[in-house]
Amino acid sequence: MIHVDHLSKRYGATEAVRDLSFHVAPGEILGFLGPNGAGKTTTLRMITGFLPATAGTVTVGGKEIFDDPTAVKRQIGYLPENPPLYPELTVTEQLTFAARLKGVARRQRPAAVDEAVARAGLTQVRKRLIANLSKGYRQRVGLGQALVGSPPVLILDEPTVGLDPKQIIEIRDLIRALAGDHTVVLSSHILPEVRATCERVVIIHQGRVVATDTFDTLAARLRDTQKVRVAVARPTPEVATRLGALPDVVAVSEDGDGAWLVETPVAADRREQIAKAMVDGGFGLLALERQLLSLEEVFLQLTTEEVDEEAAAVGAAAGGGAAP
Amino acid sequence: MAILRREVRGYLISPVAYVLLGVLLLLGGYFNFDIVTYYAAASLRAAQFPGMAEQFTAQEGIIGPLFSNLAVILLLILPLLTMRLLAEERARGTYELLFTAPVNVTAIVVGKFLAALTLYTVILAVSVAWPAYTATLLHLDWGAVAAGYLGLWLMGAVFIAVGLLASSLTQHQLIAAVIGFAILLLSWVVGWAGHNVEGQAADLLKYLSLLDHLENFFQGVIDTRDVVYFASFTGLALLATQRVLDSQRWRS
Repeated sequence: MIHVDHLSKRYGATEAVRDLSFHVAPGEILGFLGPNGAGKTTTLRMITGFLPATAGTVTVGGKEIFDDPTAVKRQIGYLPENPPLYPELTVTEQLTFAARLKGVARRQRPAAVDEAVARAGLTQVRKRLIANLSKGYRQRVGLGQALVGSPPVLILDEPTVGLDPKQIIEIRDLIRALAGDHTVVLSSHILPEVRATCERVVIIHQGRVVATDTFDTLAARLRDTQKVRVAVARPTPEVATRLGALPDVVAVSEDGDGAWLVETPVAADRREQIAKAMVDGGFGLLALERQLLSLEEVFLQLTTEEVDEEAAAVGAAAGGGAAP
Repeated sequence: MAILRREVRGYLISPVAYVLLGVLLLLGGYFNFDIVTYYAAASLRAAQFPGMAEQFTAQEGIIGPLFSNLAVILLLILPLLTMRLLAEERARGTYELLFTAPVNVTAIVVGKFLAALTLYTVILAVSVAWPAYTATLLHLDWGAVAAGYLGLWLMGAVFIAVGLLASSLTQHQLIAAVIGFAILLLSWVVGWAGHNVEGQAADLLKYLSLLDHLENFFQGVIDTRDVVYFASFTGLALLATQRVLDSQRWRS
């Protein structure tokens, strides 16, 4: 449904997005994940035609954004980071304006607005002025605005930012309900957010894609180390020494209250040896459990490794330049 | 069309339009009263000298001065009316809604322009009260008054188009108003420089001046050249606005 190919955006000397490519299948919910300033908003703005790309192409439903911007825009419902609303309008008026802008025929407009109101949960506030609505409701009006006219593609930029937990859950449920009928791209800098709503994720960092995958394979692919939590009844410093002496152990760290974390490669499961060492030492083994690397850790790993590389490159360049 | 409707609504519920309308009516009403009383006094004096009375017409004595004053007030007020058109959208982030909607930039520019022009037309319609008042006192040539209104209306179109251009350049409404006013004032007075130079340059400067084109209308004369001047000035400003909006997205 959406094809993004070799997309780049340059602001003067800085490259906000570099050679970015990913595809979204019809009916899919794709998470677009990255730390703040990774180029998420810039990319989404290029997909929606708000910003022209420096290089590369965006195709939505077979139409290219540069060749036929109107045809692409007609298929997209877009919720920018800050919902673009007119405070002097009521909710119904705002949505009617959006429907009119999107070219919804006059006769279908009331029905289209009603549907958006119902789906975004705005029934109670539809006659109120946007100026008087809470942040959560404004976000929903923005979402309703994106939904008006039921466009096949929805682009949502940080849809739950600034909402309270209850509202977040409601918005997530709403987005999940959209899957199938709509192709959704949702951006976020919070991993659980994306994990709760999306099947697949594109992780970007410093304007580049660092991973594209489903959550399961992503976690599996990056899970090259595992941690084993060992709890004993009689903790002494010797426990750490014994654990460290075991084969393949990468690191041992204290986890408080007579527990240690033992890091080993996934390929070499040493739980049996750990148990034996603890029992032989007479420490009174209480618990032994494997802890898989969480997605947060994967995400952090993906986005910090890049920074290190960059920093190293910059450092090397600076060093080279300073050399006589 | 959608933009036109929302924009007109925006004017109707914002206090700015009412304040400006009120100021215009107050000042215009004052000038009208002043001019009519002055005319009354002057015509009394003129009546005592045979031959002088023929030079006195309501058109020259009342309508002309009234419209000249109105034009100056509009020069001050219209930039304030148009300053928000695009600058406010940019400041609020609603730019993003407009430019991701399946409408092209030209439609946005034209919609905004027509909205302000609609409001302006209403203001002019209200101001017909003054000539109507004058008409109760003496004979008025309504054809000539209509020509004056056509001139004012065309001039307003130029002011609005220039104001829209100014509004597209910045996200600060005040800056937009100042830029718009500066451009208009310059086009207003550029003819004065024509007195100091000679030949073609003088003709050119005179041609460029808003003021010189208005005078014909205020004397009740509709000249196609003046109409063409105002229409092309308006068109040029709108085209420039459209180009500015387009290029901003490339540069941002």
